[in-house]
Amino acid sequence: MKLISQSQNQINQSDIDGRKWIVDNLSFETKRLLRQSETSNQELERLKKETLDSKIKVLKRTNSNDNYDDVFNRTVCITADKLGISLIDAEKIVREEIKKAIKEKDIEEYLSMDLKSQEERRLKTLLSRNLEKVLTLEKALTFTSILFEIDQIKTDKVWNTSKFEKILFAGLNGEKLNLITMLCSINKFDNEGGYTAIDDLFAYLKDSKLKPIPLILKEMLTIIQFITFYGIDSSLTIYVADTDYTETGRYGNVTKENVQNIQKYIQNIKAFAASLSNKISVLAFSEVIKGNTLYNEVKQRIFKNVSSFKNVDFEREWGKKFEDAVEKIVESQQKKKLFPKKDIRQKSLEITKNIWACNAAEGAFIGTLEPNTIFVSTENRVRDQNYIIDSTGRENFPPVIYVLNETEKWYQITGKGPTKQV
Amino acid sequence: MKNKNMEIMKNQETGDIEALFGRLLDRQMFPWENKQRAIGEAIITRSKLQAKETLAQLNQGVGLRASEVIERIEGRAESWNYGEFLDHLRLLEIPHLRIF
Repeated sequence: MKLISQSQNQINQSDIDGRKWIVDNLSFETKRLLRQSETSNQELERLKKETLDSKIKVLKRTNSNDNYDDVFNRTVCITADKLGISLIDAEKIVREEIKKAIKEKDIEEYLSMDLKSQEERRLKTLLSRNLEKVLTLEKALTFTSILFEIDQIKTDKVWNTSKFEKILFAGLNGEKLNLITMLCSINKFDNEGGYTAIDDLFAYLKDSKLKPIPLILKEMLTIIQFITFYGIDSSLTIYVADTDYTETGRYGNVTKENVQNIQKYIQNIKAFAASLSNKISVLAFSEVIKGNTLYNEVKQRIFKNVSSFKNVDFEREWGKKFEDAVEKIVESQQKKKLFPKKDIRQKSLEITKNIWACNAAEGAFIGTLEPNTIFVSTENRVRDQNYIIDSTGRENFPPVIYVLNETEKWYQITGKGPTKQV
Repeated sequence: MKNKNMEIMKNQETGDIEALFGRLLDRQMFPWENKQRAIGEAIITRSKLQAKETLAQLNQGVGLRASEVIERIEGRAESWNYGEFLDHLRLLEIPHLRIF
């Protein structure tokens, strides 16, 4: 009897918890939406007012060809006479009438013109600044054009803009640029604990959730062509992050078959890249860092730091970010189902430690590359922060540009995409 | 070199920056996706697109969407393994929430 009552109590407690959780979330989400709605409303009102002011400005600038000087003044005066009211009241009425007549199209036109002026002002300032820097008119024009085009195609802000500009400038002065990128492997999960590394670059055509590697490579080529278009010499090195599989444990046990598949995958990338351009070289990252002391040192140091968080400075800077990263890995591991449910949290913690240690070591290695290096990222800026977890990589880490969006475009076309990997 | 720099600065002050800026707007960009166009043209296209997107976002932001609230809670419940509590959402005794 007592047992039944205890169990009943547990059910009731769970019921209360559930209801509370739902109500708390409903309240939070509703408040969030209300705030969003209020902000949007205020912004729309502001735009409407600015559109009105701009319309009145045009009327005030338009000559009325009579004694009233301008069209706005004429309308106000005639309204005042007609209704027998003061000019101040007549102006209020005229403003209100114009406001009523404003349609969404008018706001859109106003906003578009405003954005155009803002962009032109920004570009003019940039041109003036570059003129002071680069001395010749032609170089200033080219330099500004390149920066404008990067800004047009960017998917995220350039990381370390001043260094990026310095390297571009060196390129304009005849120095060769060293473009690099890090390419991941293609992975297929059966969501029942199984994982296969895919060697076929064109697998995305059969399974649209897989990364469209040929599209990414062609896009890389476009970036080289873009730089050549502006008279700068460059070459691209693609590092294939095969260590993601062998060193982090994020895909479960390392199997011989998958290792062979990844090797074949790298061979396929080499062949495809060679068919595109002789300016692209492809290297397995594991080969590049073989016996690299710095890589191993940093990897061990960061693994130790994220395992204990005893280093106060490190904890302050990275502690919260590490916790968030673990949560994301837990989320993605729940979907991949590579490990038993009860082990997911512990495994995710181990995987995150490994990922952070490897990323930091990769960053330290990248920092040792030649000074004219520009990193063309296939990731996003938040993820790439992992490269500078260790202070060794920070100072010499190259600037990073985010200009690749073929993968996004592909997923938009197909309406599919992989589970976001961290 | 210094003289050349001074000359450019002087030109800027006398308004030549306007002429130079005009040249910049007329410059042909790299033919992304084989589309050739000038910088000035790209600015106009982008401004129009941004204006359209901004207004669409604001208009969407004005409306309150109950479905959005529910979708977010469902997503969160799933990642926290609180799926069972979602039953409470469907069984809520608050009448106006039943429309969800």
